[in-house]
Amino acid sequence: MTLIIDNGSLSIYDDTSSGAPKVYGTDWRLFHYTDGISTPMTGTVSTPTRTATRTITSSSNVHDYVDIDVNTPIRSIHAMADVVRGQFFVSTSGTAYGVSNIGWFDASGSYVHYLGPNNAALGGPGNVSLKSIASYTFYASGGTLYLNERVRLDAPRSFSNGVYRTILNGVTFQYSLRAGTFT
Amino acid sequence: MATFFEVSGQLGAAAIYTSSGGDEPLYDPLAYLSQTKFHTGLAYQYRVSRVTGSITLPAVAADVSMWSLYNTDPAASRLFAHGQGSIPLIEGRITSGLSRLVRLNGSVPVQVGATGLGPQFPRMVHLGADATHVYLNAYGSTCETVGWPAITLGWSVDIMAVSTGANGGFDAVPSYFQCGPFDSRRRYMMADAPGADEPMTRGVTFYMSRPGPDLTDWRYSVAGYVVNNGSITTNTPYTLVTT
Repeated sequence: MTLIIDNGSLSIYDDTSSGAPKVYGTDWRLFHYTDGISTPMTGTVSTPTRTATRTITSSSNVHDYVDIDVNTPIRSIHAMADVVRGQFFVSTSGTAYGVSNIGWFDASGSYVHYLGPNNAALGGPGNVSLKSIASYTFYASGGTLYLNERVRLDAPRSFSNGVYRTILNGVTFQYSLRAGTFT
Repeated sequence: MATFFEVSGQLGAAAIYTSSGGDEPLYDPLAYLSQTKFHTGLAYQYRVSRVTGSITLPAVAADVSMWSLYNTDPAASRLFAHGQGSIPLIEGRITSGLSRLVRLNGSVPVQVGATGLGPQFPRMVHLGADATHVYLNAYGSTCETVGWPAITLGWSVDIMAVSTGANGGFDAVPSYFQCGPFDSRRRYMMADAPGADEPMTRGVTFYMSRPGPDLTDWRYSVAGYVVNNGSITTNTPYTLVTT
């Protein structure tokens, strides 16, 4: 091995391999944490119940669907933090909607909570289209830790007059997170 | 702005930073992060261990809404006991069973129904960990006419740690560099290094839109692994890393 400190970087080369490849260098960007370093950032954040409603009368069919993209600030973090790591636990009052209450989820990327097909309970067809989805993402931007809530809900169709709803119950995230960046 | 390499015995730290003369980044790298290229006191993430294995997700019949492996067989979603005593930092990937190696960024679609209405309906997997175990949560909805066949996925999960504290002293020898909590012999998570081929995402990975009544288009697209239904074309930004 050879260690070279030169030109603003520290590098280590493996002289025992053909071509003496560089095996470590401070000019390679390393990932490090800026927030939640000694202990993770913990807490809870909740989203409200979302409801799509279809009201059918003899003369009208009014569909109030849900198509939202909401960013909820959770707390201030380092201005350069752009990666969120850690875990969260999901709970909700409804067992039929989503995969909550089964454990902890890694906070990287989007968590898809609900995949809602056509509602067969009203006597119509079964899972013939995937019309409702709920997805949540923790992310870091501009010195703030956010929860992104992306929800699409359509209410059931029916041939009968009445009020029909697709309800996504409120979701609570118990989180244990860190934020960081590459330097 | 010049680049400095500075070692402080008093601080037990070494730093590489750009500056027009002051040495503030040596003393407080987080406050001067835009000038800091490297600092032994930063909380770098490194790999402690790597565990590998495989999991078989069972076949699921047609017309099943919100199936989950946990609700089918709670023990089946446990990958291994990690023995860390608290919730660990983890990094994971699917190593076999899909079209390519797929890093576990969020909820990853691994199957859709094969025909007819099926492509709308994904089965997802999502890595997770509690204080005792690492899990692969699997769930999804099938369509009225098509389910999913069983699938076996190879997986690899890294238990990670963060370099903190003042231990370690200072040692710069031809084979390694050690200062404070930093030790170049560890497997730190790095970008721009040879072998950095796993995409680490920074935010939303699952996109959706409403093309019309009773339809939701969706797309998961990270570094060439694309599973989608509909017309969305968004690709998730990522950084290629290695550990």
